[in-house]
Amino acid sequence: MSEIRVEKLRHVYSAGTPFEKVAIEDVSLTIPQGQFVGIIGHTGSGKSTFIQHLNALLQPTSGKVFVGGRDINENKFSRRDVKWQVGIVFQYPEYQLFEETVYRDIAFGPRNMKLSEEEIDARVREAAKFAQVDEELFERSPLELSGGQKRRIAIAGVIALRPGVLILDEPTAGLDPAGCRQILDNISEYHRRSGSTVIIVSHNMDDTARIAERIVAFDHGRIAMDGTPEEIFSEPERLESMGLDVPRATSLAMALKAAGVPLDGSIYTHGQLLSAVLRAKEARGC
Amino acid sequence: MSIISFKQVHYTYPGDELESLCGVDLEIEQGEFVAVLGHNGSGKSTLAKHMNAILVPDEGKVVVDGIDSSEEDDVYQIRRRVGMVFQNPDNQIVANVVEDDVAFAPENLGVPSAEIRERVDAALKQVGMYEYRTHAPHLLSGGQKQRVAIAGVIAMQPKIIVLDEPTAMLDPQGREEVLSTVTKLCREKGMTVVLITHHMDECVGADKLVIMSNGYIKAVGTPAEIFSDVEMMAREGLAVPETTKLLYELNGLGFSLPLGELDEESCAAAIAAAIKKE
Repeated sequence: MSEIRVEKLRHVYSAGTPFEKVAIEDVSLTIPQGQFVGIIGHTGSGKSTFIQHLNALLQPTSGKVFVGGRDINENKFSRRDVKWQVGIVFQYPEYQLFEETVYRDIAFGPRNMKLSEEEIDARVREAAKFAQVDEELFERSPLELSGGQKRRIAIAGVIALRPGVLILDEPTAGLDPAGCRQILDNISEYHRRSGSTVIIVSHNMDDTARIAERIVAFDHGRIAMDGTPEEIFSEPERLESMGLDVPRATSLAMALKAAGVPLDGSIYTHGQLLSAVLRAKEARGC
Repeated sequence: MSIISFKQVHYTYPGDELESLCGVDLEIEQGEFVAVLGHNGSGKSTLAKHMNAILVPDEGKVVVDGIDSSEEDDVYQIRRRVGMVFQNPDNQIVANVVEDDVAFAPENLGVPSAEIRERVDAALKQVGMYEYRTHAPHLLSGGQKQRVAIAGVIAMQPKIIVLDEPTAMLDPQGREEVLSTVTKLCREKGMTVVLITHHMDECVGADKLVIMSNGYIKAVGTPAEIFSDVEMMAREGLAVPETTKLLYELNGLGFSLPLGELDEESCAAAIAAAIKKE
């Protein structure tokens, strides 16, 4: 199991120099196995620093991180093992593709795990299927494919590690709307079928509202809000004070209420907005 | 006369089999704010690169401010008129100090140094980065860097500024900074702006919206006209604003609302009026 437990995490960059900066302060949270978490926050709020602690890319200045009950910073072995357990897909992962063929690129992680050839092959095919990378592309150079295809290959490369926790930093940045939707659908499908924990860092509130079951908002290096999308987006003023947007459906619902349309229930997805307007119409019709 | 004119432009990248532009006709007027939307690989960037002669047509003609881009001797005349801003701010900044970076282009154009000083100060003020003129660019945020890149272009005093997905790598605040900066350049300084983007909400305030698809121009019109064609936008894999989407779906359920109400207040007002009439 891969429950994540973070205790009183603190991280200071360039400690003891004039550039000293506290990036994370007093962060504690538990993410149960299988949860789908969205992390939101203004640039510089500490989100990226936080996720890099979850697979020991960064070590805490103080505090502890446990994955599956084990302190990941216990020793060099725990720090290595956690990298296979917690996979991170960074922003613009397509810039990190380097192998000659798509197949070899996806196989890179499993090969480093020293798995057998059959096991590597099985994992590459499984990961490609999850990320919707067509097997016909296996012998092509990843560098000659489109942006959306490259992004999916990079995601497949991390999924091939079969991580218990999959973390994605801005997975849809720079893609067109169809490409964004496809990537998010792939991630949701992967979450549903694999039972892995998924953590997605995003500026896009519409996407986060639609796919995450829990949202954690960072502000100035601390956790400012933690709850269901319904709880988080019922406080639009607070989000705005942290420099964050609300989902477009929420914002339009606020405009409708201001124009005198009585909308009930919490509204953070387009479907909720549509049904609330229809209910308002029916109430008026009676 | 249009400031940029495309006449039956065809272009194929060397080594490619498929054409990236397949007979494009487009007229852009002086002082217009033009937004270009299209899926990945639709030819948006290829179109942009024809606007300052980075690429020249295989067939057809591009004329910028009266100059034919295929005249090799006149390429620099076009480049002085058309400034380009690209996606990644880190690839566009060359100097260690903000104001040196902005001065780079006018220095290369041989502008006298007293005038360079004036141009740099004016450009930085226009993008709201004057207070940062002595800062190091690498310590700025993405939105700030992109505004420095825009200042560098303005300091050349071009007539046209072409921005190829300038906000793709920025957070919502950075996007807003860049968008309001280019809108101001267009509306207050009369500069012609061509903005290539994936974010349909950045197109709402444009005079003209161009939809590209597989190397063709699929549609040209005002944002209200284009977004009202919800089926066409869906076929192109593009999104429409939340307002249009809601109005369109309500119409499918018995309302008869105008689809062109793009901003939230007018959309909300239209729905409120329709419900009260019941």
